[in-house]
Amino acid sequence: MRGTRLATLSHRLLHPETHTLIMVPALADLQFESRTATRVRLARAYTGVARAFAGAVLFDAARDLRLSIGNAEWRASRREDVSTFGGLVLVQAVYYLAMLGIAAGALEPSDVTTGFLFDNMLTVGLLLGATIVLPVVTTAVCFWGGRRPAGH
Amino acid sequence: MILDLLDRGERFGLEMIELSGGALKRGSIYVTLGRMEAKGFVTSRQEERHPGAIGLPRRLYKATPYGLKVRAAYQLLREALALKPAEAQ
Repeated sequence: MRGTRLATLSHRLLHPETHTLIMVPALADLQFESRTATRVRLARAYTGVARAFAGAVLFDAARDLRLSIGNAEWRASRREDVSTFGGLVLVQAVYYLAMLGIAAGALEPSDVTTGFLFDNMLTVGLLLGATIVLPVVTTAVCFWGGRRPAGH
Repeated sequence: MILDLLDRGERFGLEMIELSGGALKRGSIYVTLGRMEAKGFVTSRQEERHPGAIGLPRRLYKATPYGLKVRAAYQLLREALALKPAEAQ
């Protein structure tokens, strides 16, 4: 069935009512259209659903921001969420950095002087980028799902 | 425009996109409809389905009496603003 993965992602990340009111109708129409649509039309439909998803994320963010104004309790709970999220990211990032450190230790000093690192700046940059991106993604998937359980 | 299309009864989102002739886009219509529903301009319900139907149920939208009043007020305002100064007096 088309759009199942996006439906799961949206169910996990968005507020339940946003998922029901914005993403479910968009995906239902995509599934309906996919029975008869040509490839071009289907690609356009997928783009539309992706844009609807982006819009739904913004819709949720705007609502969260509105809620945060003048609601001390809500702000306090979010602050707790942010610190937990940051802590989980940090633990993983330190682990990845330690692994990188061990790998770098295996290099000979001459590798640096002969320009090994400079010749491989792209690789080094990608590895450093991964130490930031990977923890954020894994924490978002595990932690966010816990904050917005399915069916609520 | 959405309220104009819903004036004649219930419609699916995709139907409105097609009827609008390109004025409504797939990426924005569902977000707009969601916002309109939150504001009470439209209501929606899931389509009735046959047992064993596959896929997600589609959603049908209908304008509320409040939504139609807002639309009428907006049209009135638009007409008033379109009047030439001499006609307005």
